[in-house]
Amino acid sequence: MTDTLDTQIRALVTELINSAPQAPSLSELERRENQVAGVPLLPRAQGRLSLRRPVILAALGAVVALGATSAGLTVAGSFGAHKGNTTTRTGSGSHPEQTAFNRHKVVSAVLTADQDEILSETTEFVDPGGQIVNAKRVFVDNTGGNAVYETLSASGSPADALVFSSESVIDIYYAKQVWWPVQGRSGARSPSLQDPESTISGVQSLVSSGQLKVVSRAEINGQAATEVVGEADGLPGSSLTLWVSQATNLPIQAIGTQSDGSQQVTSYLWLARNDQNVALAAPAVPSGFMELSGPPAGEVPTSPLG
Amino acid sequence: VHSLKSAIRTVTQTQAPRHPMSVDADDEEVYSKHADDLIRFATGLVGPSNASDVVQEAVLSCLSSPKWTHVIDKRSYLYRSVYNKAAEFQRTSNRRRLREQLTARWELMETPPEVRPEVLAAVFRLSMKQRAVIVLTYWEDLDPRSISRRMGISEGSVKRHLARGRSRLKEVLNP
Repeated sequence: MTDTLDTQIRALVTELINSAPQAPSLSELERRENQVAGVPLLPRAQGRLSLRRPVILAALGAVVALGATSAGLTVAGSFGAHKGNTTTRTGSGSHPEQTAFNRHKVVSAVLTADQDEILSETTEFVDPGGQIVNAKRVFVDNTGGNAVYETLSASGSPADALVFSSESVIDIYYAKQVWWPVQGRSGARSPSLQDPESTISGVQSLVSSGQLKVVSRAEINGQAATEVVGEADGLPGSSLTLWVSQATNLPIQAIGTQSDGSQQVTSYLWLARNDQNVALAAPAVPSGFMELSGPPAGEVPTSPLG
Repeated sequence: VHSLKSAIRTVTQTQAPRHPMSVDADDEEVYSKHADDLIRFATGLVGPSNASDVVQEAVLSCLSSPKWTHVIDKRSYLYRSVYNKAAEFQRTSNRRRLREQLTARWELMETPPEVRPEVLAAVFRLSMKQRAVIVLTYWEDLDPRSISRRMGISEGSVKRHLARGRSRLKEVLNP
């Protein structure tokens, strides 16, 4: 299986690399540089500023409202049958203008949120029978450089957490009331998660690359201000549906479906930047927890990144 | 206020003036020796459409840096610069694409037909570090220690990114 996978990856990499363009000569680079030097950069930068400010104001207000309505965190309950998203489609159809327009708005909103909000995302792994078999929760503070990756217990509380900061990475094992520094991990200046659709940059890539397209409008979990932004079908055997708030343009749910029917349902909360929410991405070790030099012998918690 | 500061910082960084570029015969030799490898590496990171831009930015940045003349391992320095520019590109590409959209040149940003969309989709599911490690492993056949030296990161980090990248690709390739 490993050999097969290696062969597959090698073929994939080879196909991509074989599409490489001709390398420009150094004289060509110099020529381009001289051309660029004659073009002021300021208009591009000013455009960025003028784009961002209105979106910040709109997004911040709406995100607070969104966060308030859904702040119970999706997996605060217990595992069991996945209830699924209650969806009411109110229309369908796609056309290029609408796709481009929404892509624009979504990317702008996500870029703004990247600077300001604390991203909270909860992912439920649902087997083909509809049972939640695992759940993880992540808080990412890109501005502060902090992140926490939690494996959730059946009750919805964290069983284990990897806590990243600019100085260190520690693992907190709540059941054993112990914690230890994680060797070999550097601080997470730019925390990145495993699933592209679960990351700010991943969402940006998916939306801006055109893998997603507007297919319909809908309600999710009673929130009227949402619409379907896309279904990515470029991946063999799987699909991704991303739901984006009409009010904020920020993703609120991504549903990845594998060919066997299993699903990975990720819910996003874009939390306003305040002391309370910043602290979510930088949890302290609870008092009374014992520091260890490494993982405890015997039972070792499943890595939240696993 | 925080966002405004961030935006201003971004603008300031964008506008940071380059040192005048001075190219000598040694630079010509170094660049011509590694140009093909750099463009392939960049292609593995950001795709063929944007590889030239990334390499251009990276090389010009290196050659105009005061540190350049003192760099011993120029190949690694160039690779790291390409990586950094690719990561920077990923952060800003959406804004660039937006501008292209607004000027009705969106179609120019589409994927070239010679690369299947699913190939790009699979690679773009990886983080930038995972892409770099995967490309260096499967294209250049470097071992983790060599990649560690090339990229200036620890060997453990290389192994971790490689494992995660492989795991991610496994999910995509063998769903």
